[in-house]
Amino acid sequence: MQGVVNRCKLVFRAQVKDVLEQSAKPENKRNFVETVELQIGLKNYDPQRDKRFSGTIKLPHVPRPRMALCLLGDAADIDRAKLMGLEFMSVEDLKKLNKNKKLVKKLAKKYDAFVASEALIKQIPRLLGPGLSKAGKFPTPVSHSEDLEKKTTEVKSTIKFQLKKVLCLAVAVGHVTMSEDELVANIMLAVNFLVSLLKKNWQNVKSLHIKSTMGKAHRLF
Amino acid sequence: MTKSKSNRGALLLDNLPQLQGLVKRDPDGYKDEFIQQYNHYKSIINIFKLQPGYNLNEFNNLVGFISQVAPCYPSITSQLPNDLSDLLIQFNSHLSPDTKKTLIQSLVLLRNRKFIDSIDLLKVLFQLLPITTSSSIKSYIKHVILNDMKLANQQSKNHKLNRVIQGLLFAMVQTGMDAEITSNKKSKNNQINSNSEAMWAVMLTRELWRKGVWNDSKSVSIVALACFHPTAKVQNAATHFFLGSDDVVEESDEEGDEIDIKKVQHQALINKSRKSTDKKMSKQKKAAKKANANKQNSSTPNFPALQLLNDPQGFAEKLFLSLTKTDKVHSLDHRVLVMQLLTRVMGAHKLCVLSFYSYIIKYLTHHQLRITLILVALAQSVHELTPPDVLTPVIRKIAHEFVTPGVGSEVVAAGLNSITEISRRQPWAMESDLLEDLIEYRKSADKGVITASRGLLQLFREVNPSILKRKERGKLAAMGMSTGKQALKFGESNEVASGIEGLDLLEKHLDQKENDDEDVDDEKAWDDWDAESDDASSEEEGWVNVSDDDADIDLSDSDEEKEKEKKEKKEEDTKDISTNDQIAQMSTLATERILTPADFALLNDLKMKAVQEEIDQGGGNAAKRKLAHLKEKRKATGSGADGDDQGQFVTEAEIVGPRKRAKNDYEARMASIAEGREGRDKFASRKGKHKSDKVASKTNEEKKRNKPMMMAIHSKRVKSKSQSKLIDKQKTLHKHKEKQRKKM
Repeated sequence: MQGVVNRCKLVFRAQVKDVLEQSAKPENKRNFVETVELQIGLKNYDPQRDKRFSGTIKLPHVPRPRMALCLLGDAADIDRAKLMGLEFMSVEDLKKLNKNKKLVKKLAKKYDAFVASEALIKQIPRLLGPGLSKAGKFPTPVSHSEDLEKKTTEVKSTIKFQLKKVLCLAVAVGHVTMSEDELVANIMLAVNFLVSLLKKNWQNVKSLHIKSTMGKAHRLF
Repeated sequence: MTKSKSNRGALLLDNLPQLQGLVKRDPDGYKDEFIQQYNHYKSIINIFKLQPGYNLNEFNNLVGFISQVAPCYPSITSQLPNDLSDLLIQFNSHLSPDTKKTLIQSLVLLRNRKFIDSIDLLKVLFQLLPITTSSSIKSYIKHVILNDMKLANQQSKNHKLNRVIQGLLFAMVQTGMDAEITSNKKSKNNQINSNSEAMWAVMLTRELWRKGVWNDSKSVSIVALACFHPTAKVQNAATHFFLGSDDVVEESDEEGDEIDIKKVQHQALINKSRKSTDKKMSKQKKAAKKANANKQNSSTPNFPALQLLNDPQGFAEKLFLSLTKTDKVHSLDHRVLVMQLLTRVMGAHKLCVLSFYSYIIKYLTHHQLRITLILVALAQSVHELTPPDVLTPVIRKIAHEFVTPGVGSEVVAAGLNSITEISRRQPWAMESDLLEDLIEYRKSADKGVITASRGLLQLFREVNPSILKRKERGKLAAMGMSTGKQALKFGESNEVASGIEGLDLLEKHLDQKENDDEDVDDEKAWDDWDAESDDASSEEEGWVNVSDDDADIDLSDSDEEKEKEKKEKKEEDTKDISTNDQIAQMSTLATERILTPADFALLNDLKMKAVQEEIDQGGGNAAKRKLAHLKEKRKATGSGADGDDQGQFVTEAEIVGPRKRAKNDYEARMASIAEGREGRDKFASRKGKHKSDKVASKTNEEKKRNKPMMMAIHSKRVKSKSQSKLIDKQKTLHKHKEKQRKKM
């Protein structure tokens, strides 16, 4: 690998290093762990004509370890969740919400993502109404044969690209306590994936920035 | 001298156009005359206000004059716009149509001279609109508003103005909202006013949207509100806005422009170049360049209206409610239209309005009018998050009503096709026993039915072969099942990409290539990728400017490590090709380097090759579709043309399926023959017939020409020539020669 690829990799590394250094400064000390997010601007993209793209990808390292997960499960899955210390809700709990919009909204707000047993997931729209999908937090299915621990890390490390009403998007790709290599790997994968989603690949990308929660934005591209 | 001046004044008082010209040339010198006229105007207005029946005949000219020259005396005429608008609004019923038009025109004139703001003008016009009764003035006002909006947004978006106008339009729609529901048939007189207002608000928004003047969510919300307007006509217009039935017109307009410019360039090559033509061409070129630039830097995204809806779930629920409530009031066509909109919203935003499915069941009979459109609506409402248990009864009902031996073959085909479309979106709604029955129809006699049934079978071979019987799974699906390929679970979508598709192919290819020769120059890979954008050079600097100090950081992925990784990778490959764990494979390549445009092109080619192989092995329609899509993508990245079809909505043709065209009956044939004969003369010889329809006698020339020879010989004119004396002949010859000489 020579030439431009190397150079652009260097830009990536330099900027990532910069972000990490900035947040590591004593005057920038925060009472929380800053998240690093990737911001993307698109160009030459006509939402009216081109297909709307959306995609999920699993990153090699978990970008948000403190993500709050909730299992909506049947009896067997709840037992597994108890062993793991994962928060859970049973069918009865869900029925108690009684499709009440406010309660469902509260539930959706409380957690960052949901996992649901395969048997239960088909009833979710019935039980909860549109609240969860409205918040973009429709549960991921998990079967009895799958390892719940593995599934939760998978959900935690999965990021979602979805274009809303504007031509720019942002995703969390890591946090400042991650090592530089980890962060670079996450960003590279996220960028490659995004570019592969776009119809004209790099020609559709206007800008790429990374920034930590309270830090400055650094331009990658 | 004084006398002459007074004379002049007297003259000018009668001749306003002349005075206008003089004032414009020398405002200060003619100030007195202007003030005189202005006072005259003021007194007329005062008289009119006291007795509204006052005759205002000469007033029109006076107002025209004053508004023409008002910008020369801003301090004197500061009250003018207010006066005019007050007059228009308060004394509207007393003014004659002529005067009204003059007043509006002078307000527009003042705006054009930048004497008043366009917001002020528009506010007056909007107030005027409901109280004017004359249709010509109304259409004039509308025209003015539309033009004004376009003009104001031409250079850049005038957000302030847009916000005000959108607020006004919103209010216009809102006022009629609480009236009682009426259908097209029985509209009441007292409501017509508010209805037409709302109608007009929708039309204006639609027009501005079509022209690209407005493309924000606020204008969408105006129309969204109008979707619940009690009047069917307004609802209809609003629904059509969302369904976008007139988008095609706009595109053809653009193309027309482009062709025109090419034509001009071509003409410039061929024709003699003149000053005027050169000027014209450069003007047109400039305009084209500007239009192109506008297209290129689409910083304001051009979203379809459906995507900009605020609170789509609430919108859909309200729409469904209005649909059920007005079941008896509105015509079927209207209800079907609303259904189309509702289901499109549901499909586009992945919404669940569960009671819709129990509502639509009652329409699902084969003798229902507009049944194909209803089936289309049903199919496009389904998506991967629709609960299968609400769809199962619907599918059963369709199967029961349409796919039975008692009905026509086209009905069966339509039923099968719609079931296919529903299960393409939500495969879990199908039950195995029903599916078994349905795919038996592939042995039917009718071609449409066979195609439809095969399509259904093929679909399930792709998405969920496990509910098919073993012998019907086919080779590929059975092989897939034996290797552990499973159907997508509920809640997982195949539309959402997960992972870079075909990356494993690229990886293998690169491995092979690296084994062959180590030095591949990557610089080339980035060449020419960004030919379109202008700022390529500056970005190139961005690439280069990084100092080499950081090189030591890059040691982490040195060759040794890479080789190690490669070995691991290969082991993995051999171990679990069958398992679906793409992500583990992918992470190595995609995390350690940025994929270049050349990489993506290669990736696409490799994918195409793989799909081609699959097709050769007998992979079904899905593989073929994929290949077509990839080919299109290659074309798109190559030439920069974009033509991605929006395949998210079902069309009527998909439901009806391919159908053999029925032979015309006698009447239809005769009608088509008669149509061909229209405007044609009766088949006969044209000899002796005049070209023109008008009957006229022959001209003398004609008669002379067609005179029989024997008669002509004996005529005096011919005879006298042969019998004339030599001297006469010479004389005529001489005369003739003289004539010829003079002619030269």
